Order: sequence, then structure tokens, then C-alpha cells
Amino acid sequence: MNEKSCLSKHALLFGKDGGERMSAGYSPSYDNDKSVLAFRGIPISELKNHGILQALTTEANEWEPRVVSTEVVRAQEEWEAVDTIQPETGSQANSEQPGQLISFSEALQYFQTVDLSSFKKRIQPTIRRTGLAALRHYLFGPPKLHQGLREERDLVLTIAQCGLDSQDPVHGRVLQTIYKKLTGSKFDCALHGDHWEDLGFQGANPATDLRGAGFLALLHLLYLVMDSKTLLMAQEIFRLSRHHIQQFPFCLMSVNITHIAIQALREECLSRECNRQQKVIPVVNSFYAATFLHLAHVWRTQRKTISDSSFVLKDLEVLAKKSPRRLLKTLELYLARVSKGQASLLGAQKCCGPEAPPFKDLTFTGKSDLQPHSS
Amino acid sequence: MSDLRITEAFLYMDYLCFRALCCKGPPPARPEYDLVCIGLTGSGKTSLLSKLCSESPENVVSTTGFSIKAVPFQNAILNVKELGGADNIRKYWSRYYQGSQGVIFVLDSASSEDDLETARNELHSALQHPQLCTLPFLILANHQDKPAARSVQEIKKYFELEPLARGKRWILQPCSLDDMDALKDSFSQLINLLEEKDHEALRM
Repeated sequence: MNEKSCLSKHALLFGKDGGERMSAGYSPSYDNDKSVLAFRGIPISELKNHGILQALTTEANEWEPRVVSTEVVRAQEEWEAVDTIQPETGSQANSEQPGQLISFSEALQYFQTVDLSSFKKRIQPTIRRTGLAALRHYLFGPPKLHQGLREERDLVLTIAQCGLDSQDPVHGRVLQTIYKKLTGSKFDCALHGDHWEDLGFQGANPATDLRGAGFLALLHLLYLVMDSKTLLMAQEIFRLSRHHIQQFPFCLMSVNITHIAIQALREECLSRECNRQQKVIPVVNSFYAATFLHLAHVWRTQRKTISDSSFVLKDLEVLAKKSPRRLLKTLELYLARVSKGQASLLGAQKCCGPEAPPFKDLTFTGKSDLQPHSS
Repeated sequence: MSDLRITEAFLYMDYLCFRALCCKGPPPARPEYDLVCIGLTGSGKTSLLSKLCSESPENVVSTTGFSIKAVPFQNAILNVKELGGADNIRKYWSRYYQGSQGVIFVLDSASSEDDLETARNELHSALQHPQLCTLPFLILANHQDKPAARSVQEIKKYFELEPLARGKRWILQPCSLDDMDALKDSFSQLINLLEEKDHEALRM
């Protein structure tokens, strides 16, 4: 019985007739060491003359595992049970799946449920104006944010006060998701390391760069990479940030833009839009994306370099606070074109000189003299 | 005779009042100096300069590239070019040294040993850089309010300021964001050094 099972095993391995040939020439019983040794002793050059291999090549078409032993079945089951390999990279092992991407809404939900009261005390929801500026703001300024939306606004500002906690698994997942989506990597990366500089952080620890914008900066980046339309835009800007002359630190610039968005929210520049849409967080996200798009457009078309960065950011801040609606409209048009599959638009728009507003063609003014310009 | 004196006195007082009320006039132009502010990321350059300009240092973002701030003092205006301190930006520092008349170096007294060593190397290269070696240096040992902050003596010793900076003009000042008076004091000293240098240049 024992021998038969051994033989049948070999029948599987060596073709339907091989077993018999084997039994004829050799006796590969695992109890008998001598035969196994004899089997091993054949030099490779001899193997082509080996009867069994000949049998394999001639009978390849007729291959059929006639008899399947239990051991082999068990081995097959074990093989299928093995998950895809995830290399250990030295990052803290968490009980949750470390490799899973986190969506924006999941991350936001986490922040809505976790206790942020210690951060909430430090926020400043609006700018305090005094004297003439206060009067002017009261008479001519933008409308106040609706009562029901103030809670949402406070949440945004509270998240901006949170720092990055390396012990928190959700924080880690957000970072990993951003890394994977921007670089296309399939594997987790360490939470500290030089690879963050590739993304445009200043050093090995991303937490040090979140000054002024807190965790909101990472949430904005997460929003940018998880939405399929804005992901294309993000990848394009990322490529621009690695240009050999016009390079700039991608994530650091993103933090600056989140900072602009926070200031705009605080100064009530976005209130009108929020009241219209009856939402705060999506408006702030879109504003962030629109501002980033505008930055990239200016950067590419006006051939800016890192030494111009502070001037570009100052101008961007002024423009973003003055006309948020125009920026949002431009973003809408851009994303509409992206979904139609039209190619890169960062440089494709007809850019007028730096004096004229760059998106004149795109506003729906209906003036007849603009029509020849529009394509 | 005394009547004349009294009328004169009254006239003079009127004149003074008139001057005080209406003729405020433009203040005499303050001299301007161009400075460059360097230091590792997180040492507090942007926060200190914001506070000197009476802006709130709470919403400060990491400096991308560089930024220029005009910091007003009573007897001078300092145009400070503040450079970002990250590893990948530090190699570009030397491009911005041209035209500087003084250097402000900010370091975090409470940072780790490695960071302090990096800061020391950067300070030494700045002290020896051809465009900066003749200029006055203001070295600010920031973050003194933290418990791990090293004292002025320790920093002076660790950074080897006495042997290395011999013959150059430098001021080492411990400071923190809470203590603005000490900071303004050190800047006044720096302005004195800058004025001296100016006078020397004129004399030559």
C-alpha cells in the first residue's frame, strides 16, 4: 500500500506512464535511501537520455494528473491560502490591515468621532477686526456663515490644530495612502525615512512640516489623491514639481495652500459659497484643489522657480481671497475636460500676459469680442 | 522788559503747539540694511521675525524657498531675507548671500545632538563663506523657554565661537518668543555694529 501511494505520487509528477517506467528502472521508495541517492547522482548532461524526461517531452500533450494524493491536495490548499506577500519594512505592525488605502470620508468620519476638545479650545473661527476695518467689514463685507454650518467650520479649524500622531493607526494609513497614490507604489513605506523627501516634505519626518495647517494639510492631500479626477491633476502637478529647473517641494507647497484655505475660511471669504451649497468641507476641499491648480498653472506658464515661491504664494493668497468663485469655476471646467479625456491642461490654456487675468476666456461673460478667442 | 519775554515765551509755546499738532511731517529717513536670516528648519526664524513685525507667530507655515520681511526699529529698518532651512534648500543658501550687510543665525537650543551638530556645521560654513566672513553676525539661541535648552555658555563652547569667530564681530543672544525685550536689545546691538561698519566704509 505504501509503495503504491509512493508510485502514484510519482505518477502525478512524471506522467502517466512514467510511474511504471520508474518502477521498472528504479524504486523511489522514500524508505529506501539508497535509491534516492542513486537518483540524485545522475549528472545533468545525462538527463536528456534519461527515460523519464523523454517520456515527459513526448507525452506533454497527454499530461493528466490521474491520481491525486491527499498530500498534494493539502499542499495545494495551503498554497492558495497564502496571501499576497507584504514585505516587512520595519514600520509599526498594527492589528488593522496596514496595507489598506483609506478613503477621505473614512478619515473624516474618524475625526468626527474622536475627541478633539483639547484642540477645539485653541481655534479662532473668525478674524477679529477693530475700528474702521470692522465697520467696513460690517457694511460691505461678505455675508456671515449660516448658523447650521458653523459646527462644520469649527471642525475644519480644529483638525487644522491637530498634529500628526505617529502612534495613531489612522494617521499612519493616511500617510501611506498619500504615498502610494502619488508614487504608484504597492507596498507600505516606513513612517520615518528619506523617501518623504521624494514627495516634497522637508525631511524624514512629515510631522515637522505641518506647522500652520496641521492634519488638515494631510486630509487635503488625501482628498486630492483619492478622487479619481483630481488624482490626474495631482499626478501632473507632482511631475511638474520634479522638473529639473522648475522643481518645488510638492507637499510643502500643498501645506502652504491649505494654510491659505484656512485663512480664507477664517476671513469669511468662502462664506458665500458655503451658504449657497449648504456645506463647508466640500467647498474648502474644492477651494484647496482650485488654488493648487492655479498655482501649478502660473508656475508652469510663467516659468517660476523655487526662488520665486514666496512671491507666487503671496499673489496667490490675494487672488484666492478676492475671487474664490472664479477659481472654483476654473476647477470645475478643468475637471470636466479631464473626465472627457482631454489631455493635460496645465499649459494648454491661452495664457494672456501676467497683467490680464489668465482665465478670461473661461468666464461666462457673453461678450461678443471674447467669442473669437474661445476655441 | 519782562512783558516782552513773556510774550516771546507765549509765542514760542504757540509755535511748539502748532508744530506738535500739525507739522508732524515725515520722520527723518531711517537707514536701511539688508540682512540674511539663516538656520535649520524649525529653529524659529519666521516666528521671531513675525513677532518683531508685530504679527502673530501662531499661524506660521514652514518657509518654502525664501521670504523677505522689512522689520522696523526705532533707528533703522532691516530688510531681512529669510531662507528656508530644510536639507534640500540649504544648498541654495549661498545664492542669496550677495548684497547682505549682516547675518542673523537662529538655532534651536533645545534640539537633539544631531541637529545641533548640523547647525554648527552650517554656522561654520557661513562664518567662513567669502561673502559673509566680514559681516557682523547675530546668533540667536532660540527656544530658551524649553526645559532641554542649553545655556549660552554651553552653546558658546559647543559652537567654538571664540576661536572660530575671532576677529569678526558677533553677538550671541539667548532668546525665546516670550521675551521680546531681550530680542529687541540684541537687534539694537546689531544695528550699532552695522552703523559702525557703514561709517568705516564711508571713511575709507
